[in-house]
Amino acid sequence: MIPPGLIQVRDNIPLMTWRDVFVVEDNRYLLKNICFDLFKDDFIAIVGPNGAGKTTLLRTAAGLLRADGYAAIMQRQSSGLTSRERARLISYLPQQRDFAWPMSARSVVSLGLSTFGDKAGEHSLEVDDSLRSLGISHLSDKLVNKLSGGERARIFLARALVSSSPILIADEPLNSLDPSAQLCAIEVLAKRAASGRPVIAAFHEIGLALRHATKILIIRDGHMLAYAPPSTIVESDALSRAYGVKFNCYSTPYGYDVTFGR
Amino acid sequence: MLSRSENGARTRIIILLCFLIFGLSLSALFVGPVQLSIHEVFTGLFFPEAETGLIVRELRLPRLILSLGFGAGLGVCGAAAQALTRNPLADPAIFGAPQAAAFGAVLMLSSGIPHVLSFYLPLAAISFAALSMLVVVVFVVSERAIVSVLLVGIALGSLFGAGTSFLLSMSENPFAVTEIVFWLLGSFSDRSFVHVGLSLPFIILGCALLFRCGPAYRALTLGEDTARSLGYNIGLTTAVTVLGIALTIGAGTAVVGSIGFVGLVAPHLVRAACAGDPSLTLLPSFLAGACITTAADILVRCLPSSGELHVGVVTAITGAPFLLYIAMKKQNSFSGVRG
Repeated sequence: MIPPGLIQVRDNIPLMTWRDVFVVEDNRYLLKNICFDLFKDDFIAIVGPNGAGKTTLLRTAAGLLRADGYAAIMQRQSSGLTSRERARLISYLPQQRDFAWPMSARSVVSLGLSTFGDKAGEHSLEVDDSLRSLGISHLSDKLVNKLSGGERARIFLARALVSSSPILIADEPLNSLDPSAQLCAIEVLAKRAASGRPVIAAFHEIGLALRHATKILIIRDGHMLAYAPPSTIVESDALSRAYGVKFNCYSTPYGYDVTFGR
Repeated sequence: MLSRSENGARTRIIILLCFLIFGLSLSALFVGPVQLSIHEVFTGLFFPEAETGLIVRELRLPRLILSLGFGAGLGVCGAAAQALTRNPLADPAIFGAPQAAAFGAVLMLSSGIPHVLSFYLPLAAISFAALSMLVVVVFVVSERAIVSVLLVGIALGSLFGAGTSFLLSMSENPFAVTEIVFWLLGSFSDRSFVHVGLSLPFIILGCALLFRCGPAYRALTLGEDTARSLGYNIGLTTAVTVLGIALTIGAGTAVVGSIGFVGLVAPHLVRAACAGDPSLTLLPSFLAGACITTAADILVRCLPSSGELHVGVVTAITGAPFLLYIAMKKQNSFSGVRG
């Protein structure tokens, strides 16, 4: 058992290692030969067309799907971890932003602190910080069901960010956010990774991902097409091959950006 | 966590419900065909030799304990069923528990082997509720999704409901049919401490199991994936919930028959004061269930009627319009958003 607060991370040892990871369902490969290392200041952006296996990859990484091959968290085979140990290491933001009961935004965010076995008590400072980092402090006492889709998405991201787990896995965290909220959210993710708490997230916002992520993992039909830093990705034709449309990558004063067409 | 005002609202509703339970319990000892004075009730309660001791201790007290205990059990079962399925219209009946318990008891009655007030009746009801729950649990172990558990529960409920009707239509003895129909309507009258002893321990055990699941219900608010990523074992939570509901509903239905709508209504009465948090809803639902059932039982004793009205009829008559109200009220004030 790993006691909370005693999770030690060394620079040269990956927090997460995948070697030839497969996910099979109904005799079909959902993921095939996935390999990557997640080091302590990595921000890995998963990109690829709809149905490529991004969510499958993230759910497997979060321990919600069974996989074949070597998938390790902190040098230990992921399937050997108890769900409680995994919860202390990984915070996961699912793509579905659904909630069953009309709760206040603050209560929803505080759910991120209620890891099994830990008392979710007076952690309101963390909740406040998380809300403030995404610029949504003013929503804290509103009921989530009265909020707009984008506001709700940011509350859910705050819920995932509030956890003290070192690794964050987020499935399309920028979905339904406006441009300024997208920028704010991805900057929060990049800052978190730079401070030694790595992030794996799926994106459709390729320009933003190229600008802020440290590595890009491109998948299509469950296969890895590329896994490289953004500077290498923009030199290659991997994006065009993944999506089947022509991608044009260029530099702007803010960093890389892309346009696409036929 | 909760802001001060929300916590205060929950504390206030708990205190209010405790006072209500105290008041209703006292009234329940006074109300009945025989008019008793305060003095007579208290002497009857504390001095077994007293003239009124028989009425108070042997008739009204077990009836009160059963209505409080089973009502509380129904309330917390409803809150747990709604929390687990994340559906505001859920109720223990969707797991097939009361239908299976009723079938077990009717099977016993129609076989004609035992006397109506024998132990076989409750025992059969408990075993059938447990059997139905066992089938549901087997599905939980093999299949994790809550939706499939619900489908199994609905299928079992319909099966046992049909089985009960079949037994009724096959019955040769018209008196037995009348007896069964009345028993199915649910009533607390003519229940003794034997009934209390047979059902209350199971109800307490069942409720304790459900209260233990509170934190998991809270995590389930944001969906199964989120709850699992927070370290909760949702398969285990489902199994424990199913077992808790089986014990509570099986034991309760065995001795008092089917009492509908309490499990559905009680959580909704208190949810707003609990800021929607399903783990905070359990205790107020427990108290509210006891209040509703005891109040309904007092009401059936006060209403002028040829025989005594059945408490299940009263809860259904008041509960069904409430269900319509839930259905008609804007959906988002009762539940959250999917998708």
